[in-house]
Amino acid sequence: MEITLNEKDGRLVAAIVGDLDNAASSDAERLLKPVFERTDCDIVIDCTELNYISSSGLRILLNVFKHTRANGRAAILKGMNEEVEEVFELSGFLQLFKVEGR
Amino acid sequence: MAVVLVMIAFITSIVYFTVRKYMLEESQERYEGILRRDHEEFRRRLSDVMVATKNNLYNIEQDIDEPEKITAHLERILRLNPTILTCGVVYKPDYFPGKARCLELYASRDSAGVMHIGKVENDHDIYLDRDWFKHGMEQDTADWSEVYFEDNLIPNVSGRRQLATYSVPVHNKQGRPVALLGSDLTLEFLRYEIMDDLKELHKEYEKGCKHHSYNFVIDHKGTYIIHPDEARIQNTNFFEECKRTAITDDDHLVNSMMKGERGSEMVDIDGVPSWIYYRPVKHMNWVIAIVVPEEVIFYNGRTLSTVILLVMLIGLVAIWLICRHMIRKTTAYIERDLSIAHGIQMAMLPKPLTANPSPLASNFDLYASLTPAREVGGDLYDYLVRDGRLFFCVGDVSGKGVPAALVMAVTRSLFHSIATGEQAPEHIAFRINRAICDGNEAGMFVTMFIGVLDLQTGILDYCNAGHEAPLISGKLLPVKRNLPVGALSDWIFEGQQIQLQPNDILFLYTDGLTEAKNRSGQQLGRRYVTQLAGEHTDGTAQQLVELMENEVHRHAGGASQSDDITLLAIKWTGAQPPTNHLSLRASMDDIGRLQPFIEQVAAQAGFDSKEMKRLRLAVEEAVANVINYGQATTITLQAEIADGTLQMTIDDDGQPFDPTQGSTTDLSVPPDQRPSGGMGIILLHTMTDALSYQRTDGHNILTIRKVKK
Repeated sequence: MEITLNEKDGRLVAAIVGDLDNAASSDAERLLKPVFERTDCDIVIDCTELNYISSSGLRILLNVFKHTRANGRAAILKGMNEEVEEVFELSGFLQLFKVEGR
Repeated sequence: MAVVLVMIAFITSIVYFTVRKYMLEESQERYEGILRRDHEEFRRRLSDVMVATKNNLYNIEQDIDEPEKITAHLERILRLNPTILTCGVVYKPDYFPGKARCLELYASRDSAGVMHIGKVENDHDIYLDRDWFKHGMEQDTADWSEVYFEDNLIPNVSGRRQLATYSVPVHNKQGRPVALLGSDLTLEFLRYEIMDDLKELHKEYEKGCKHHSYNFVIDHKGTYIIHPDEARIQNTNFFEECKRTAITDDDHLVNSMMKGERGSEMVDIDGVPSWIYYRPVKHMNWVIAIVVPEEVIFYNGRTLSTVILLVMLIGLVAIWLICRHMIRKTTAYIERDLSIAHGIQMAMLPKPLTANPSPLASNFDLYASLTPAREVGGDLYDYLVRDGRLFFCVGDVSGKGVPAALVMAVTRSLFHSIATGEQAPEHIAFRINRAICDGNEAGMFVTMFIGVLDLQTGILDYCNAGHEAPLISGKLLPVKRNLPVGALSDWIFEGQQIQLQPNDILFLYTDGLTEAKNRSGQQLGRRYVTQLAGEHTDGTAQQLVELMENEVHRHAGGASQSDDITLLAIKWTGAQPPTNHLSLRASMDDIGRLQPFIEQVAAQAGFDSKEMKRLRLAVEEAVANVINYGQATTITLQAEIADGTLQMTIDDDGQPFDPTQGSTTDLSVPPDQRPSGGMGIILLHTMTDALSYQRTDGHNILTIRKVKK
């Protein structure tokens, strides 16, 4: 699992590559730390190359959502594959995040 | 050492000469004191005789014509003066007309102290032609005689006495000398007295000496009057003895003595180098002297210097011992620290995997050993298994000791954390390189071999950063020439790949092995190591490492190890057969093993990627739940596939928990407003076709069923 952070069109894009499972969750928390330091922009979670997500991954993304909402900003999901979207939908996460590119 | 010897020699000579000078002064004082006392004794005795004789002269002169009265006077003189041995009056020839021609009146005491008085009358001129008589009468003066021997001083009392006579002319009423009044002083008495003085010194200061001090007295001509060798008395002459020798020092001595001077001189006397102390005797033209052999003077000095040097040596030894103790105490701290550092460093390395097959995966076998040349070293190795891959490395930090050990610790930590995230060995090398170059003031670098072995396929990806090429079943692995890690921060590392065949054995080592020297400086050599590895491809990794360890030990033959030696062997036994069983520690560290297992089981069941992911999600959520909340130690998974249905049993020894009871989570509430947790249970339910739970023998047994779509 890898995460790359980029600024694009005034938004911070976090692209998650690979599996966001239990084994990867501590790495993901560490790699996403810069996201929690930004209060001035919307956050995009780019799931184009996210292969798999478990509940521990959901917990991390929930924290991202809470952070953006506290700053009056939006959290956006994009590029989910079928299985990942299923998990988001099941968990009710699609109610929280804006979804792009559908 | 030479400095210490020169110092000791210097101190020794200072002590020697100081003690010598002191001893000479001290003995000079001692023996001159004796000489002074002896001289005083002489002067007193001589003076006693002279005074007694002169005091009685008036009475003798008054009664000179009455021999009876004279005899009475003589007896009284003798009685009152114990110093005088004999005293007598001899008359001029024919003083009493009609009587015998010569008359001698005397009073004498024998050796027993008995007094004898008497007179000698005869016509023989027994004393008339004696020098003392002629001299006394003619010169009409009081004077001492030469020293002489008298065999029969007292008639009928035999005994040879050494005497000196003080004689005074006796005048008649007309003032003319008519007789001589003489008193005899015996010299034996003096001789014994001065000898006794020295005898005490012999006892006190001259014990153990070959020659002893002695004294002698000579008259103005140099003839011995007193000498311990009685044969010399009145027979030999000191001055002549001195003049006979070729040495001129004693001639000076003779001159000085003849002039009546006092002094001291270092001369050979009877062939013995000696100090002689001398002074003239008052009233007489005699010289009294003490002869002290040099040996005597320095005998005590020698003892003293020996004692001083001995004490000094003991002192030096004591200082040496104290210094050594303190140095040891100081180095003990350093040694203790190093020994702790050694422990830390060894603990930093992963344990060699002795179990075969390894508990990490059943299709490889790994063994390693690291022997630092000193307490701490700069070699390292590490390995970890992740996602069905074995990540491993061997490294050698430039330099030795503590600096190398620090870099070694950093490098190993970097490898371990980077290998947890990176897949490609050249990327791992790149990132370690960046980190080490950053702030590497000392310019230390590390040669490294980094390998990633896919345990399922046997494909080995590797990157060699300036390290020794490993051996693969006894053949050199072809390696590209990358710089060592830490040399240049922007170096791009090149990776390589090779396909291992089942039972290939990979052998990695540091140059401490090939460059190990024996006593004559010969290296073990790469060729020999290669040959040996080629001959032993059938054994286990442990056997190969131990073979090399024994070989290097045998080769060294007691020569001290100059470099750290690290050996790492990996044997790959081929692709792992499919398994339906997995045992995990209930820890997040082990959860990574879940994915390959599930992928393999799902493949067996013929699931597509989507179904596989759903299965994975269900199993992972169940296992994560046990790990996070169940306080279990072991989790065992067992898969069974039949008729397109996969049944997965998850068994754990944790607290009772039934996940089939469903979640209390209300899905209609937005996720951010729900209490945390519970999400996993929902996923578990959603992703499976059936769930069942039972509690048996303290175990939770959860069965997940999933049907192939």
